[in-house]
Amino acid sequence: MSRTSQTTTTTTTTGAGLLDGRVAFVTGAGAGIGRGIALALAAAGARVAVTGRRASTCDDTVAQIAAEGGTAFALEADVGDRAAVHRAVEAAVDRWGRLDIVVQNANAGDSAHPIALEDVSEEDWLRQARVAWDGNLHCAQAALPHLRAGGCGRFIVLGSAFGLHGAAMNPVYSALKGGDRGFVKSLAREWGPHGISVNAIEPAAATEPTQVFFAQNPAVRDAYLRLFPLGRMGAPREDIGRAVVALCSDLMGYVSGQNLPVDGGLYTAL
Amino acid sequence: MVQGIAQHADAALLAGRCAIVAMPGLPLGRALARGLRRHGARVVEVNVAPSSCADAEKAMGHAAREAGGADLVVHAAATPAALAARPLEALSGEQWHAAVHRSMLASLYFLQGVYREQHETGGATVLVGPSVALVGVAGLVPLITLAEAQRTLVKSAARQWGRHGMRLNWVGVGAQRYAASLAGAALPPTPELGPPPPALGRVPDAEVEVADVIAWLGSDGARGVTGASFNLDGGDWMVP
Repeated sequence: MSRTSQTTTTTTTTGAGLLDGRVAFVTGAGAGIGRGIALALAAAGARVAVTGRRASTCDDTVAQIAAEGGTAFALEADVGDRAAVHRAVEAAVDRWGRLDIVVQNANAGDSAHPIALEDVSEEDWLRQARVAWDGNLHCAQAALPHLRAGGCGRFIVLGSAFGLHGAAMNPVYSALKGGDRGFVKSLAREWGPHGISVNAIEPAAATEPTQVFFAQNPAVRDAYLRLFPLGRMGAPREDIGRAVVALCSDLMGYVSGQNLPVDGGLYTAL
Repeated sequence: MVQGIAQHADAALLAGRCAIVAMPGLPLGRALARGLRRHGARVVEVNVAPSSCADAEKAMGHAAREAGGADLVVHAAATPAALAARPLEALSGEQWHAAVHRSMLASLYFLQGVYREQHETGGATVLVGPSVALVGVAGLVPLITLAEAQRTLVKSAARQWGRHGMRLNWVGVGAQRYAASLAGAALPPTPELGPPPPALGRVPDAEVEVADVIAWLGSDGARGVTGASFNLDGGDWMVP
């Protein structure tokens, strides 16, 4: 089987029906990995609240889900704003009567920008941390009553391989993603008695900006791709989104407190 | 009685070296400072958490002048809010901020202060956390989030500053050694049947056994070690 055909969508790999009846809340879902996750969850049968800092950025995702026969609507939710997250979660529950899945994918826009550790300012830290860490807190607190009530709650944080290996020139992002690891391990212990699983996925995916960058820098692309045993970067929907679907389904209902690299074999040091 | 390795005549690992112990608010720092002195180091303690990078540079510079250098820096940061056990849903925004952001910023500032002191001469830094950070603790989400972030920051710094001869490592100690208050937290049992003691039958003593390893990490014997995590909890949690 060629590498290209491995990512081809088929009925058997979309997970259709796996999440029928479930309601999902995905942050940062207007583009990139968040969008891929929202599309995959909807294709698996979940109704999806597609959230972004501005609701308008989520319209395309919602439209595509609708075009494929799924159910979704867009919500404005700056995850760094406690009240905004609570409003958005309640809006999703008001609409569909329940909440089963939360995927906290949002990250600060400049999280991938290189910066020397000696130059990091308090503003640099807080700007990224209010989205990554405060977002975790706000989503968890707003969702808990509903996840507990549903009986099959899933809380998933999008981590990063940077948080596992500690990237040299992304110290803030690496530390935040490393912290996510401790967050999910602890929260999994805390929420386990409620029947809620808490996990993190560490993805490696070629988002739209990555593809543009690689097209302009083919030598960098080739060097980077050599790091992946599978020889390619993941696709946001087909590779990362479907892994989230699996984790949210009953198939992986016994998995909790884990950090799962979904990265083509990039990071294997666990 | 546990015998420290410096009690052997030729084992003063840090003879002539200067060490700074910056663990504001954590009594563990005092014990480690005593242990490093036993290894021959001139040790200065920094007991005030910096509120800015400039604060940290000033404190580290002052300590380095007093000690005669900054060959080894031992650091930990956890505010009282980070050490308080409570369910995540009960945390206010202010408590969360005080627990994770103030603690992380203190570590960030201290590491930047270390960089100013070591980037021309090289040196070693050891960041200390609770070993249970590797497995998570119910009721301590902020502390464990913080501790894993600090451990990852050590890796980033090790990769970035290695070219300056700077080595950074992380040491995880038994939770009750890190902060006495954690003995009352809902620490997870090890995945062994029954309530067995740690593999070594005890949680290593900070002043002797933990300080011995930190002294080694600060010595020439560890010149090839950087970005590593060491659990010194007697064998409770073993990294896969």
